[in-house]
Amino acid sequence: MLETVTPIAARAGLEKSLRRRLRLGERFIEGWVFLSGLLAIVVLLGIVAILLKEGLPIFGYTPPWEFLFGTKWYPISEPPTFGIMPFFVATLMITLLATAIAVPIGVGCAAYLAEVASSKVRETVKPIIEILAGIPSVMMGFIGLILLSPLVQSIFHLNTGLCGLTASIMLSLMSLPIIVSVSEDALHAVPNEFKEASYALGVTKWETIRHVCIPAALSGITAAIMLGVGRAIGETMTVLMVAGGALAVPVSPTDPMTTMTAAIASGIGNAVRGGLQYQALFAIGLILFIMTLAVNLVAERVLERQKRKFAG
Amino acid sequence: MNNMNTVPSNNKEVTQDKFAKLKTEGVSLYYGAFQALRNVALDIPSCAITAIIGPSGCGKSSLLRLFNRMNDLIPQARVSGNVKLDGIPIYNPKIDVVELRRRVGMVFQKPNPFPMSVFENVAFGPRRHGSKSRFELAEIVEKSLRHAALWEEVNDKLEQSALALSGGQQQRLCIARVLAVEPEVILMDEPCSALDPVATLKIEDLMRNLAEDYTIVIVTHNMQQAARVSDMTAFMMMEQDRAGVVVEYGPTSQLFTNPKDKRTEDYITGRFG
Amino acid sequence: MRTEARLSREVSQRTAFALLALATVITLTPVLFIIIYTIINGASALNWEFLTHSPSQAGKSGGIFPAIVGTFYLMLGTLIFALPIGVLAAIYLTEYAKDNWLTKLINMAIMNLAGVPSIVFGLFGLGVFVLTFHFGLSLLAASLTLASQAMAMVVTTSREAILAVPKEYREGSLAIGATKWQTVRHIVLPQALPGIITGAVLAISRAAGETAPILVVGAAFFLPGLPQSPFDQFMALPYHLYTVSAHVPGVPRSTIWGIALVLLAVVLSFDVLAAVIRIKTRQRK
Repeated sequence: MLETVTPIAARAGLEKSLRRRLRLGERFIEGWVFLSGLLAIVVLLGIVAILLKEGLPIFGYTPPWEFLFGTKWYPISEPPTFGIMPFFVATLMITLLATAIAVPIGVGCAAYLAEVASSKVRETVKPIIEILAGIPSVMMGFIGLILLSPLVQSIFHLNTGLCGLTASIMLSLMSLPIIVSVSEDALHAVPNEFKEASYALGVTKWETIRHVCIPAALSGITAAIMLGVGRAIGETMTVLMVAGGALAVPVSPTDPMTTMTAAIASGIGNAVRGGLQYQALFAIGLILFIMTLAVNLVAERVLERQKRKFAG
Repeated sequence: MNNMNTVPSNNKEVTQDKFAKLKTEGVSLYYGAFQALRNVALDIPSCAITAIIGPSGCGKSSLLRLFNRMNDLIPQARVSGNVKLDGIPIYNPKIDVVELRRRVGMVFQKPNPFPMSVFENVAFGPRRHGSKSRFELAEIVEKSLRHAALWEEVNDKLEQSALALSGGQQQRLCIARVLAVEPEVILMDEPCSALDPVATLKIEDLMRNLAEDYTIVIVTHNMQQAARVSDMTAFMMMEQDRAGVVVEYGPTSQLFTNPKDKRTEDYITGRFG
Repeated sequence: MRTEARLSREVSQRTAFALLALATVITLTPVLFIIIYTIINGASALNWEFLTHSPSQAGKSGGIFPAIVGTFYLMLGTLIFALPIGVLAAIYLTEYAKDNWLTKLINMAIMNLAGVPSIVFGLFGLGVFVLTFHFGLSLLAASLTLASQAMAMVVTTSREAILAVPKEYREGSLAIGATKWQTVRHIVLPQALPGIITGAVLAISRAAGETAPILVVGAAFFLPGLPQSPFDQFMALPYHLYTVSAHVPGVPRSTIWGIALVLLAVVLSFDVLAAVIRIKTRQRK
């Protein structure tokens, strides 16, 4: 039988019940969620802000040119001078040397794991490398101090084994995990089609790795190296403990030296809050921040490009 | 809510009422610059089964998702024209989408029970809408499972994981889950395509029972199913520019025996698609 | 001719693979060596007194109890500050954020925060928490500093875990009239929880080993008692290892190895815990 309900009355009732609710609970949660999302930006900006606030004033005392290129760091002399060349050169030297050691080993290991090793070997090795990544830097510094530096001292006939070389070796160990991990991902991402085409032409596996896989994964490997470099630049405790702590501009890796990170760490405890040395240390922090930011941004760009290359 | 002149039989004879349950008026759907649907005009009658058929990719699912605004989840989706539920336009900032989706429920192609017990799956909706007492929930769960023709099979397994059920049972569980929130419309997006023939028939029987109380719209690529089960059928096709259009819409018996459009005829006689 | 060339290519391959394997061995050896050497040298120092007493004679004798306690307080503090905010931020990025410049900026900020040197975080903590907020050299300042550092990692791992939840579950929930937050809270988060916890455990394991930030922000060389409030200074294992190995003469070698062993044990046990959770959940699926 036909049931008629007056459309208009019905519609009014329906319309009301379908009307948008306030749902205060949802809005409240969404607010918190949004604020949390913003926090990353807030922290990053906070870092920049505090570095600028506490560090920029030093350039009123020491002009930037002198600060960056001056070779004398005497914070407690009268008058104090702040030139960071010794630290900058040390950072550069140690980073380059550590990278030079870590890259061939790391990329070689990555190639082995990605292409040659059986999956059983890979499954066993990868966790061990993860463990290496997890060893605290102060421990690496300690090992370098107790075990490696006497070795370096005797092999190279030095006065002390606490020098840039020791630090570079320990640092290379610490960069290895990230280099291996990212390079391995990059090699893994090389499409099978390339490799199969190469094998089908009677090319050996090693030749394929060398002439097909590695070139194809090159941007990923480059990104891996840059991330390793970023890690090396930013490392503090290890270099603090084994690089020697000297304030002169280093000439050779076997000289004792102080990196930018170590300079901040060793100086900040004594610096008078707000004083000149304090400001100078924050300024070094600012420069460090910019350096690592730049290296990481380039690495990210390169990784993006690598992903896009093989996504299509 | 509204009923029409109906003759109870397998393919009911249905007359268009002035006040259809769901209505689209000149509706077009865009994903960014791409037009997915063009000028769709349908009146979906209440308490009946309407089927949407057509070759794959012609926009059937997109059309179905208009009715519960699930297209909103796609970032660049845009709708022009009017989509109405009981005469009320639903693409309107004043409308509460969450409540809309309670009233217009959806069952998906691949059964998607939550990774919880059978009981918790069905109780999920009512819990969110405020029911708390165990007793109340147990009642709702039993009622919904009976309505979905699943109670006999699972009443001793209510606390077991829903993922342990067979495909057909999982799909009926998803239907029970929708029923538990007391919708008025049930949208089904190829509900049987992931199921075996026996399970399919069970669900088709279920659909016909449900159509006594609910408005059902089903998308299917299986013409025979549409012919078996539905009262009204809409045939869709993709045009040259890949936009989907409704070629013909009418009572199922008529569309299948005496189609008005040649393209419809070609499709149902298997000349393409 | 052809066989000769083929042979030399074979030899090249063998050599090359041997070198690659060597590279792998070189990568692995130090880890194993360090762990085994530490255990061998440090085990002798481990006794009940060592673990439960305070240091005396500037660390030359006595125990390391305050350092252990301090490290655990730090881990707890880092967790309290980094986990809720990190998870909420990850939820924002996966469920709520639109694809606009702000979202890209947030993602960039997270990636870059991960690369900031730890000493710079120390300066950040010093300038902001110790001085500007007037928390002083304290557990609170140190926890906030370490949490700022850990946040990037927590967000990243939580985001991966949340993205791994299949969209079918979300659709099923929304399609029966649940709100977005209800869907997140009752369906998405429970599913993502193991991954989130794994990430959190890894993050605090890392925080346990950090020295540079706490050096600047509140770690003390020697304290007679335990910190009584978040505003107190504290001792910590990594800082203690640093001071006794580099700044205090005459500390017995075995003692220093003992400290190193305890630190390593703490850090590695959390890493193992994270790995176990990861494996267990993969098995269940």
